[in-house]
Amino acid sequence: MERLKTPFFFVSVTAMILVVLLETGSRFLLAGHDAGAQLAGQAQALGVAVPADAQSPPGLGIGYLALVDVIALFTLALMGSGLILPQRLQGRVQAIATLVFAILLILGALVLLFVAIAKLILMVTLLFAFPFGTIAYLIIWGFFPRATTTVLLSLLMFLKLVFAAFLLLAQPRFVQNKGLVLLTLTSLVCNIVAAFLQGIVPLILVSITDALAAIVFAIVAVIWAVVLLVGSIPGIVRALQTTAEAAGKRPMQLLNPVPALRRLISRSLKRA
Amino acid sequence: MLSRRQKIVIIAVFVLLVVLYSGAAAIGGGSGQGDASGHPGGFVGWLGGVLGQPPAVARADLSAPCLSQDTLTVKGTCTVTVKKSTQDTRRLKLHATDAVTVTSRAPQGSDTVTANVDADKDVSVTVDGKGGDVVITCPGDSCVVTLP
Repeated sequence: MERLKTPFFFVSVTAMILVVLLETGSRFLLAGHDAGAQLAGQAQALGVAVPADAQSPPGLGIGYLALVDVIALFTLALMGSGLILPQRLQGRVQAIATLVFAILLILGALVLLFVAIAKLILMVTLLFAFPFGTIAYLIIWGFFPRATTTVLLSLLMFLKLVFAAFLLLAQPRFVQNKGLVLLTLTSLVCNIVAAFLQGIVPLILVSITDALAAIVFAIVAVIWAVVLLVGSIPGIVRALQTTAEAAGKRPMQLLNPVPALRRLISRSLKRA
Repeated sequence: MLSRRQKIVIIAVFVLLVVLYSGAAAIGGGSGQGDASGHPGGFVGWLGGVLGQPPAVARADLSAPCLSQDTLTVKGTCTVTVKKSTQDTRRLKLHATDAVTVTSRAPQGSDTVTANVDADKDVSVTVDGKGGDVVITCPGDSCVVTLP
């Protein structure tokens, strides 16, 4: 079997770390651009007067992309742990780490999902409450920094392609790992979904479609986290069996309640 | 090494991604800023239809010195106070019998918004859960505004 080429693997890991860092820090890059002049124009069209003071919102979509990409980063970390951990510990550590990570991700993604839904409802309700609600929507969310996000999404796409290419160079057999291939494709498709939803509507409505993208990413993250959770269960069972064997007990008695139940039922029947 | 089939799949996926991404990026160029005074259509319009308008402010949450039953008789200015509520966004619908100016804090923010309302027109003032003051100013001696 071909060995893992560690330099390529580390380039791949670095690219994915950069992706997650850029996504989680995107709000600092995107928010705060002055949009006072644009607001004044829109306020005039609405027939209201408002102090011309509006800034671009940070948006939700790119930040929520991190929920999906952190799974890829975690998978890489698990692969990398094989280079550090002794082989007898690998399976147990990976199973327990996956279980904990999946539970945390499900909880985090669900909280963020509800935050995004609440924001989307508030945005739409305000937008359609003409004219006081509409102007309030415009002040807070009306001027999404679409040009900056396009650049950021392009950079993220490039880094993700670097991640995929170098992972393949590190070990071509990774392409046979269906889970990893699907995860990489999910990450790339989510990037395209973000770009598509931010580009499809006029500027003043982008915050709404961006919140929609965030909801999609949170749901995708929950689905992947459930897949990880289910996938970690056999590893956890094996880890428990190994621990029980090491403690000198018969593992099947510990983990399989069926024989014990059968004995209990047959005893009860005899008594009856 | 990769089999011929695997290579084809990988190349096809990357070509597809490049095409999709280019398409998505190209869409961004032509959609413009938009106009908030027009009713948004498409998916956002549908979403607006599904979620509907914010609920009306409860009559018990309103108080004003110029308020008598459902009529506000404004001489100079009159401040209508909307109480706090657990509902995040509410709507105070007013019908201006005479032309007035309505000033209120923008919901979810601190900016003051002013709208001139023509005679015999309706206006909806949106307030958030914190409530607040809606100031009605009459340019003449006396103006009548009703709560429909």
